[in-house]
Amino acid sequence: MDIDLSLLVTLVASGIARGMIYFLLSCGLTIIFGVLGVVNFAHGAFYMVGFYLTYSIAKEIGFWGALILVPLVMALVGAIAEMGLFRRVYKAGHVLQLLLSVGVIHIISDIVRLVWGLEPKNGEMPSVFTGRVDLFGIGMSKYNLFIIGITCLIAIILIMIIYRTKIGSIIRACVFDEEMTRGLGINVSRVFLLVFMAGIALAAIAAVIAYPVTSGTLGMDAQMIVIAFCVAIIGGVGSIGGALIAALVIGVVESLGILILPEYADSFIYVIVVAVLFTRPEGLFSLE
Amino acid sequence: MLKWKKWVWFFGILIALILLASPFILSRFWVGIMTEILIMALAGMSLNFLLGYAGCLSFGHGAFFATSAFATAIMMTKTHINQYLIVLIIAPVLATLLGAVIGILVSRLYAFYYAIMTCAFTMVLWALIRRWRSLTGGDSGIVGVKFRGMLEGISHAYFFTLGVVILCTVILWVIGNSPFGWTLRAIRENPVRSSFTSIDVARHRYLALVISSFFCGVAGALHVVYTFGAFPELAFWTKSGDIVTVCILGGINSFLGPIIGSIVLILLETFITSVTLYWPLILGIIICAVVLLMPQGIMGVRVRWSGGKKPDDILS
Repeated sequence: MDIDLSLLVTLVASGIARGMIYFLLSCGLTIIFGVLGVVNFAHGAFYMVGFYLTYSIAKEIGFWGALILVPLVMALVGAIAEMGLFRRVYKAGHVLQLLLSVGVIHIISDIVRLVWGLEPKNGEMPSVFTGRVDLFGIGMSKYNLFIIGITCLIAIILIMIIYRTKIGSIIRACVFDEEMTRGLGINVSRVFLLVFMAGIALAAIAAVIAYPVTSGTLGMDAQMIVIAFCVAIIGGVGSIGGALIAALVIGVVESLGILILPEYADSFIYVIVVAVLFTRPEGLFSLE
Repeated sequence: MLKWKKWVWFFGILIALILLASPFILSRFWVGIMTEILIMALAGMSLNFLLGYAGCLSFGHGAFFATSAFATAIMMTKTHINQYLIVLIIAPVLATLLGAVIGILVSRLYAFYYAIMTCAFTMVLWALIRRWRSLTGGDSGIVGVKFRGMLEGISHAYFFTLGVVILCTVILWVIGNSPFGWTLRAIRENPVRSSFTSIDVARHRYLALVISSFFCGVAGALHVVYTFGAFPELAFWTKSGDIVTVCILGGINSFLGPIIGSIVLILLETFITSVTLYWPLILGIIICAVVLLMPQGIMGVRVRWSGGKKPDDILS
């Protein structure tokens, strides 16, 4: 019984760590949707680029360098995508926006295939984080603790920016009434650009953090985008707090699912999504 | 507009002649390509029934396509149902059942949520197909489905596909121009106002999805007749994405748009994959170009050039 309990705690902890990665990913998605009104279906593809970039950069200058550099590079990529493509479809309706993202996914995943090849890329754990740390008599992976810590830090910084700074209040004003904000002399398209870059950078941070514990394949973009959308649907699109709770629930359920039914572990998320849709189909979308 | 109408008969007869004569003139390869175009066109039209008429963007039509394809392949290889006509009817019905289940969950959702949820379902199906090796053959799918008798050989498969696609096109046209189809259009234009005129919006959108899933299932079953197999990639989101692309490329405001779209898309794919390996890259660029430069699709451009009706009206 004692062993079972510690196993359970370990699994829950790794589930929380996994959920934190999902949170970072879907946080970017949610912010972009909340402010710009565009569902960035290509978010998972940006995550994938972030992962492969980490693979290349971490080999050269190490994990910490990648943690700084990759989000910056990806923010630039995001800026190019926003200015070149997404900016033009803000008023075009959801069908064209989604199709544009599909085009971007095709382009990105083919470029990734062109640059990095077909073989899966395995992440490498920085030596600082190998091994476990004893916490209340239960062995916890150091890296999982790091993930939880850094994600909490990022979430706090994000909330501080949105609710405590001037740029945060401008962003909230854009969500509330874009036209009025424009009328007050604020360059809304620049705000949009900034938010898009921040969203992509968050996806990149998620990718760097996930790098040591996952392996990159060419299909990972679809896998991640579906999870990110499930988080958004359970938590309510546009709400950061909701995304956090939903991401944690999904991470833990996925983790425990491996214990119960390893073959179909990743189908458990969809069971939750379906259950949520059945019980609260309208109440989920806090922003609408 | 009148000038256009005069030419319609001419073009109609020309196209009918090409369709009927092609197996006798073209090589096996090109007959295969034409079959593929027909199947894609049917899948596109089934989605366009939902997207163009009811205004629901399903990003998971691959789920119905794959369900029907796998049902056909499994029934042909693993059961003793030898009558392929029965199989080819049961398989789309199974896809329709899936549509009925998914519809319960999604028909209250709008816009992005609708698209995302349907996409999530097709990804679930994809994961399921890959895991359930004993039934579906896992990653490699089911290959070597044999149709004896009438469907043997590529030209027979082509004529069978042609006949079924034409039949389905006519049925979709009739449904689309029935009072039901016009109600769907009213819902697309304004769901709230439609519900005030005592239209049960959720029910109509639900029925549109069910009907659409049936025809997409027919396309999936035909796919097995053409390729002799069913593969998990059919349920991957890219397949659903291709079906959406075909609709937008052709123009969602036009009944014939998906046919034009699938002709252009599959011909481009055939030519480009014979030249370079980077078809997805070029496909992505084409999609972005279509979205940014001609959002009304090819048929929309046609309308703009001929100076005819506004694009929104040409569905009628």
